[in-house]
Amino acid sequence: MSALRVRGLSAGYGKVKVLHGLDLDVGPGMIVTVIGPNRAGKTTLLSALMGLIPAQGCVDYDGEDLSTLPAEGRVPRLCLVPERRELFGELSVEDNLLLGAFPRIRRGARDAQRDMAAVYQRFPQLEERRRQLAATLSGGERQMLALGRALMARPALLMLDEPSLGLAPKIVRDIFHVIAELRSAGGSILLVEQNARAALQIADYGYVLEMGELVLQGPAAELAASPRVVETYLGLTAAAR
Amino acid sequence: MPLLVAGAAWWSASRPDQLALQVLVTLAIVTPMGPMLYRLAFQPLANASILVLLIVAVAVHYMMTGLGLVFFGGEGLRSQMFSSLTFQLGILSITGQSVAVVITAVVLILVLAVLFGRTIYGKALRATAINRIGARLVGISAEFSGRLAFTLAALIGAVSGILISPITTIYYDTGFLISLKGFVGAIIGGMTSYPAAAIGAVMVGFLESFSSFWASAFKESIVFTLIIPVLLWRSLAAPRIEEDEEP
Repeated sequence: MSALRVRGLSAGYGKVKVLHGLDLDVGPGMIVTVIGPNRAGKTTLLSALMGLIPAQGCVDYDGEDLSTLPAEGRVPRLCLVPERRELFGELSVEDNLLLGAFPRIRRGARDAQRDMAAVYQRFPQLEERRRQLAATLSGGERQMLALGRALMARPALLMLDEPSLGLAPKIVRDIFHVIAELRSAGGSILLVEQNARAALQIADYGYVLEMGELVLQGPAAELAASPRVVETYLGLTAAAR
Repeated sequence: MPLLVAGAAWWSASRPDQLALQVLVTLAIVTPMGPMLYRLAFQPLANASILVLLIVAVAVHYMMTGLGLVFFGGEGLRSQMFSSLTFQLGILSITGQSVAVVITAVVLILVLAVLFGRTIYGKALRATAINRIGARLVGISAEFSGRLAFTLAALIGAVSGILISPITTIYYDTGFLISLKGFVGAIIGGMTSYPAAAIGAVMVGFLESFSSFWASAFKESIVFTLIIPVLLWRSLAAPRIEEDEEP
């Protein structure tokens, strides 16, 4: 049974500890979301899980300990779409996607083209712009490219850092649509979002991260109805009306 | 594997007349030194600042020059020409060796263009230069990029050395001056374009030849002083485009 099991994860930058002993689980075929305010440590959490920053604690995927592997070793089991997208601006859309499949190509896979066709099917705008340089794309298209690139590696667990940030509502809807589709295709997804409403709508399970600690967790529907979450993350808009 | 190469080197030393063999063995000896140097000196420093890397590079260069002196002595070497062909082109007399140099340069440029433009490994190397974090996120490690870059550099260096050793006398420390002038050519090319770098290098060659006729004591200074106006021009003419990563 494939699952992400995190126990006692602590991480920080230099002397500043941002995460304090977190326990987290992502089951197979589930969308798990971590919501919380700015500066709660959400991006730090994903960076630590991906191996980009040093961390203490245990990170298991499918029973295998990942905590000694650097980021390049955790791909393609774990794939991160970071908040800043980190695309290769001077390379074409097509090259960005191709490089997403690098770990598989390096191990001898020859079907990257098929995965690319699937990505183009999901994101027709990318196919139109396949030879354009990534730096010339709009915000929404970059997000799609970043997501497409992560999908090219056929990750077991896809981690998304604020996919809706800075995007128009229609594009946010499209992106979340794709995320829900990914779950039905069998992948697991860890979604970190500030937009708690949208996140809890598509997620199965949720965690609330505040000040580096997981203060609340539960099935997404329960969280969406819990008074604390409603007040802090969902209620303000409702109360304003 | 190193034993194989060492054995081949010893065997081919007794056959100095077989050019192809000598060339291949030389390439086989020098090229692996690239990734070995990377592993030894640079891999532990993968996250160091550019200044530290530069200092280490200079230190490694001194070490290599010293070892060169120990192994090869202070005398120079000029090896045999590949062919004794010469022909006249107007007032110039051109040797077969010079033609070989030009042809090899063109072929190398084409090969590199294909490597970086069309193969996944070349694109991976470019990607690492463009965005290090993005490259790590798609599984391209610093070790992979470093090994590949150093292997390429060692191969090209070995090929260059083989080609020019019949033309100019090679001493244990000749490499420094040659690569510095190549560096000037690369700066003129903006470090991004093959034809521009090739033209830049030819310009440097012209400049040095004319300087060595008109003011031979200053020929090297003139070539290196050229770096200053070129850098000034480049920094004024091409404003840096910051990668604006807005989500």
